[in-house]
Amino acid sequence: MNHKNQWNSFFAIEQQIHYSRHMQETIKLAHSANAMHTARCHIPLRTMVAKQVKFFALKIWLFQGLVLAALCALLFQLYSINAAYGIDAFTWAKHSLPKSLCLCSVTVVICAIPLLSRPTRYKMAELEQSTYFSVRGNLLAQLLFIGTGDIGMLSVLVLLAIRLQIAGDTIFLSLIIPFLTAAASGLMLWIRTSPSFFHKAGAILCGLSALFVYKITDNSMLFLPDTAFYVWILYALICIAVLYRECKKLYCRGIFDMLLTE
Amino acid sequence: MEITLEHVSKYFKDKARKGSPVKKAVDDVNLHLTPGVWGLLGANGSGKTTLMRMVCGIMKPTAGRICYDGVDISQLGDFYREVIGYLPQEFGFYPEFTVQQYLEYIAALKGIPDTQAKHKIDELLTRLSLEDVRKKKIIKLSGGMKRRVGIGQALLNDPELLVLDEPTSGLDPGERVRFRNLLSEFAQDRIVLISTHIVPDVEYIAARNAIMKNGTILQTGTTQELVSQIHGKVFQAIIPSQELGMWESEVQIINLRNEEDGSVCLRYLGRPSDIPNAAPQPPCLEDLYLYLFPKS
Ligand SMILES: Nc1ncnc2c1ncn2[C@@H]1O[C@H](COP(=O)(O)OP(=O)(O)OP(=O)(O)O)[C@@H](O)[C@H]1O
Ligand SMILES: [Mg+2]
Repeated sequence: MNHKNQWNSFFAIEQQIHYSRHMQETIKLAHSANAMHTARCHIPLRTMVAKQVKFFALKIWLFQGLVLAALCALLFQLYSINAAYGIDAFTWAKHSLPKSLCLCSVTVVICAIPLLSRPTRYKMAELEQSTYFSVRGNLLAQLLFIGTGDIGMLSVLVLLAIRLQIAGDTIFLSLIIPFLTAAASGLMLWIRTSPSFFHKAGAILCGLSALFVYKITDNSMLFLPDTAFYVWILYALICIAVLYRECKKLYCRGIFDMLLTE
Repeated sequence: MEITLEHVSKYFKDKARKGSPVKKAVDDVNLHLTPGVWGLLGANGSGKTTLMRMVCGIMKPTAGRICYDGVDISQLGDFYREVIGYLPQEFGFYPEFTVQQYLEYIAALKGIPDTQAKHKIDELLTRLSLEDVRKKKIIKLSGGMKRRVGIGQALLNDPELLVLDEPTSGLDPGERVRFRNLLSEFAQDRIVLISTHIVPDVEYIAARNAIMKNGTILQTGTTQELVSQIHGKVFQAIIPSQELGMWESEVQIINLRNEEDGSVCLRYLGRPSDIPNAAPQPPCLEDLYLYLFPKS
């Protein structure tokens, strides 16, 4: 049954309203609702993100750059100490450097925590939540900047590891896997826990998860040298899927979710 | 346009409380907000901030619902947020921001296009006497100036619902008057909800008031309607200063002023027969406040 028939048979008799008049009224109401909605001209989310570059991106990247410089300096320092004590570069690269790389990758993730906690630390969360783009837009923008910064930091660390003659699969297992583990667990934790809990325990929990996974990669390389690598590639893909899903979840949040004031 | 609160409650877990581990910050509040300035009065901890946060959609009610023109605000999402302006009680800012950058940042979060934002920021800086400090870092401003920046950001998007949590704290008398005029002008066809402890501010600009106590709304009404209930209960008397101790326990003192001749001019809540020669006084909202919250 089409709408007109439905109207005529169910409502028009009882209410004495003709279909054409009902349609006119509905169209008028729809127009006024639409006008109310479009009266305010808004910039799209991507423009807002672009504007955030001016406010935050440069500061975030500067901070990440400083952390990266410190990490590189530490690695070089370790390398020169080992060389000075006569441990040959090959043995060191095989045993100590992967561990240091793992720590570096966890540090890359953890340095995002003070950046993400800025709205609550400076008491801006409440106000930001009440605005049109709310936490959603703001935090997505910041996550984007932090993510691109992280990729930059990881790339530099990968290049550094290649220069120190570390094998590709070792780099993958000691740098990329712990990074993805820490990032995925950190993001899941961040979205699901209160800010106060996350700021206290977030760093420890995502660090521990990455170190735990690193321990497993270490053992799996010892015991299952051939097949394990493909399992880890699959694991990395799962982590990426989790990261994507969490970001999407953040983007689709309703008005009452992820309230930083609760 | 109207905002309706239907049986709205907010409970917090409070482990420190013995017996019931739940703190009822807002308890079964029903309120119908219509265009005009609404004053929200109440003692510390009566639940004003919690109620305002729920009205702004940044805190979820434990029970009940809040409707904007009959539609639950949890369904409205972005649309609801674009019609509100909010000044939190604790005004926060990133320390690196200047006044101008801060307003530009909030304008971006509110999705206001650049040219429109620029005009609005210029206009608000002039109206709030902040032009001279637009390039100054907020962290270096005085408390009252910070408050004015906060008021400015709330007005950026010409909100239909403006919620201001203690906007006048820290403003000097001149700025307070200017703020009141600004609000009165702004409030036509819009809902403005203000909470404050400075009762005269509400008295001057609020068309209607709601009085909160222990999470519930005690009374709502115009200032006249509210103060009419203490008509004939406010008096002024001049007594020798030695007698002050005696009367202090008998009547509820609203105000006392030491006169040059050693006597004391007393404004109090009580009965005509309490102090001889006491003259009745027209009551004001502050008297009512003290009447309803004697201890605070
Ligand atoms: N996030 C929270 N967690 C637990 N309890 C809370 C929380 N927020 C508020 N409360 C409690 O709820 C009650 C009401 O607090 P609220 O801040 O709404 O009062 P208020 O009327 O704004 O007070 P003031 O005039 O001091 O600003 C208080 O007892 C407070 O301790
Ligand atoms: Mg408060």
